[in-house]
Amino acid sequence: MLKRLIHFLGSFLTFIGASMLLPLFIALVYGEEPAAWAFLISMVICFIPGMIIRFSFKNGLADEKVRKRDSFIIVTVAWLSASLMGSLPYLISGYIDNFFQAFFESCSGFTTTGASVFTNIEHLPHAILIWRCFSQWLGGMGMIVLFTALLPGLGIKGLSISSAETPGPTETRLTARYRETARNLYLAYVLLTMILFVLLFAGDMNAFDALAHAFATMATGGFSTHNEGLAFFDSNYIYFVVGLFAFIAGTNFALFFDILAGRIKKALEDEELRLYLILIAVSSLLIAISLCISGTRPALDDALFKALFQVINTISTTGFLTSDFAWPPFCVLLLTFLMMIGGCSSSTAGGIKVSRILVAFKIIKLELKSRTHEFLVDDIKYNGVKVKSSVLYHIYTYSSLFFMTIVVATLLLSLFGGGSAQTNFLTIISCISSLGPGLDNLGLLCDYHLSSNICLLICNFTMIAGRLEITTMLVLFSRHFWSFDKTFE
Amino acid sequence: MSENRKFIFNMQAIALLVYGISMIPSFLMSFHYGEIRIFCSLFIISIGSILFGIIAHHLLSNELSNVTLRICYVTTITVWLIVIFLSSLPYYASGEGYSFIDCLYTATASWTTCGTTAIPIDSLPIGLLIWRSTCNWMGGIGIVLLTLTFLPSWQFIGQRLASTEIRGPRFLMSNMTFRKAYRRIIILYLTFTLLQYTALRLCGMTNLAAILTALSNTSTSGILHLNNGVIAAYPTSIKAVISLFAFLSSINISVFVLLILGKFRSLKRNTEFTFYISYVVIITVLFTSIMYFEEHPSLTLGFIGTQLMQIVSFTSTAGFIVMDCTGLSAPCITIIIVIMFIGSCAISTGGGIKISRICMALSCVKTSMFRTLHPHAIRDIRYNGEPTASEDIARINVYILLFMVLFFAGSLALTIEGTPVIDALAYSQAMLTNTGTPITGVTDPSLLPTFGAFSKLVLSFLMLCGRLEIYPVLLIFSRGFFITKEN
Repeated sequence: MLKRLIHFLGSFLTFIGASMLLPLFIALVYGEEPAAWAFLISMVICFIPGMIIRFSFKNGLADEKVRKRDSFIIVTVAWLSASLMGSLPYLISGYIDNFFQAFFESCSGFTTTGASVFTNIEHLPHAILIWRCFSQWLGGMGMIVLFTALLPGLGIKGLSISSAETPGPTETRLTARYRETARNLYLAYVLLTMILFVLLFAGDMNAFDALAHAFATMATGGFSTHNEGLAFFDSNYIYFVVGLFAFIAGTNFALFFDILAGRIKKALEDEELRLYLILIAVSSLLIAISLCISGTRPALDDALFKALFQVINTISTTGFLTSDFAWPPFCVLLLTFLMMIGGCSSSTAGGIKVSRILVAFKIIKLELKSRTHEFLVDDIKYNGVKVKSSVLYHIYTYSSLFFMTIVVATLLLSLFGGGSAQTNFLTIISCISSLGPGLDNLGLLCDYHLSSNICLLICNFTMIAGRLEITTMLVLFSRHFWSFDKTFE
Repeated sequence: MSENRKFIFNMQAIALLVYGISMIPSFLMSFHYGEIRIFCSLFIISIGSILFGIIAHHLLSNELSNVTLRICYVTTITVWLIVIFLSSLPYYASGEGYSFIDCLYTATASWTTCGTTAIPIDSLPIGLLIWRSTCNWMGGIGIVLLTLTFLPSWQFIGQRLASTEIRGPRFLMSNMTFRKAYRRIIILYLTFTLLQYTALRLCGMTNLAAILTALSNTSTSGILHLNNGVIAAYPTSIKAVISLFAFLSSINISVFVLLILGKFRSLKRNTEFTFYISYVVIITVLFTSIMYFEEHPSLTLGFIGTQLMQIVSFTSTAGFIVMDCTGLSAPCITIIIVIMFIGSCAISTGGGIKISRICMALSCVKTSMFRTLHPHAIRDIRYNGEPTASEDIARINVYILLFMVLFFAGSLALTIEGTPVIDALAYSQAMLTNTGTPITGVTDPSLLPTFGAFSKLVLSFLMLCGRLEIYPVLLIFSRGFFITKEN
């Protein structure tokens, strides 16, 4: 396993190095020499060890079998190394001089969280700005998925590994070979990003802003090129386009293939999609009513538009900054819950996932029924198919781990000099749900730059745990993972 | 009238009888202290309830060999709603000008052992103070459980009926027969109350305060009558007695039975008890360490004891304040929030999710992690050394999910009237866990929000959900609940 892991790591470093070609190109186009050097050096740092490792551990790989347990360590190591290497341009260019802050920024990018240590991003070079957004795009659909799609000859079972990375309790399998599924998923992802780029460019955005925002929106990341976020453009057209694509990015990507194959009815009958739509519609309406009644947005059409955008922005865990957020407590709390719920499975969104919420409610409903009808025997069905008991156990475990991670991370953040208990709690929820900006009872908080190094590390851990569906990362802390008991192999 | 309906009405009649009898000490005390108006209102309601209860019981008495769980849920929730409604009447009829919603809120808080009040506790006449504490005491053990004493066929249906009211997972009662368990619960509860009263009197507390404290604290309702629950300035002996009995009340009653029977080996194997003891010790050490490194006091036994008492106050969901909590640091606040959620042991008077459920959920996570790594391995989840049925594991996990859903839904409902987010979360938690003291009230009691009628109803609903373990309350909103063979 060790050989396979090291060989994989070598290939992955090369891949991360190659992905820096885009910011390097941008730096050259905009004549940003220091930034170009920073990316060039970072690429070399990724390439040289990557290539050496790849070729040194080439022999004897066929003898090694990748087991289920290995997939967890491969995925976690991949995400940690991506965040580590992704922080190099920030450090080398000198725009961040603290390693922990650079690692946080990079981690926030790859996990599509969108939290930032920068207080003023408008003085940053274009190359750095595009790297922030591009790293989100890379992490959005899953780096391992992309890696599997591009480099099939690594001898790693794509499905077993990507299941440890893909959001949601179910595995997306569109074709018999997972490599083709991964390619199809990325094809849809690239296509949608291109359409979004064109639509944004057709609006008030220049090509650079359109590209950066297309990356950030499709990945549901939320990084922007301006301090005010989307509020900078002050355009309802941009709000509409970004909202629409954030909504699309929050849905299950496998549904696009149903639609493309003409199975529109089947796609629309998807229970998860329906609940996702219901949640958005009901929440938007409630928030709009609350905004109207409280006088924050007296006009109903204006309130409805802002509410709809903010609801989609939050439930898809995109987290773009908007102009004002001095909303009534009801709206803030409802948005916090939506942030925890997150988008659909096999989407780029974070959070618990709508499918899990749906199954959890079905479990609760069945339990209520069985309390009154003692001899009732009924199954829980999802899209007409009986849910296996292993999936139910997975949901129980996931929900327990989700709350446990929040509790432990909040406690650690409080212990190591974070803010008040409530701010820490909301920050951790924001990180674990991949939203980014922390919601407080007053408004949006973006003061991660004030946090201590250890607090940033705790946030990094929470972000990666949230992005990798918690179990993938936490299983590494299990005693059984490190006890090499051959009985169960 | 169908037999089932007759049974429900009969149970309600007996509950009224118990309710009326329990009011006797209150009106006698109000008479003793010369509170004539209070005496009259309490006397009329008490005698009326007793008479109505006796007559209705004689008219409706029936012998049922078995009842469905559905009927048990209907019985429990209706009995609770009736006694809560009736208990609010003495406050309303007292002539002190309390609004009805405040009276209802206070009555719900008393019965559900939250102990909070919408009526200023200092202004309450003594008769009503006694009545409030009596409600706390009866709420702790459960009105349905008390009514079983008067039911001729309780041995057949008692266990099923009690299971809809007792706090904690049902399967934990399997180690003794219900008849024995019932008797022991009543005897132990009475013994704890009397012992606590005696200990408090010995510590120098006045007779009235000792009665009120013993009644309220045995049911882990908090001690709002003692300086609004802040007892930091009280003598250490009184604080220690209150904390000790709050702790004892938060332990599973079967632990005491095992102790009495001398089954120490079984006690050692009791998952919940051993977990609870280690949990209290670890949390106290953590809390004390944080306080020590923040404030640098001298590490005396008194300092450690105070932290222990404060932790016990929240693990038992009694919610009294033993130390100066103003300006409590973020880690300490986080710890208190977590322990309020976890709560106390099953089949105790404490609230929260319950230690047994947390133990099972943790075991479930552990086993699930193992199964993730070894998908073909077979390993069961054990509790008290025995394998646990998958149904029980599912039920426990569903309960925790439901608890969290209610907590979020409750806090969202509270923000409708403009309650700040943090206050809404804190109050929703305090009411659902039956602690009664929100974390915002612990750190700064002067900044309590004022709630409207809607929010008070939401809070009452949460209290009732927390006390009756959610299901009896939620079932009446379930469509399937009203579908029977007849319709």
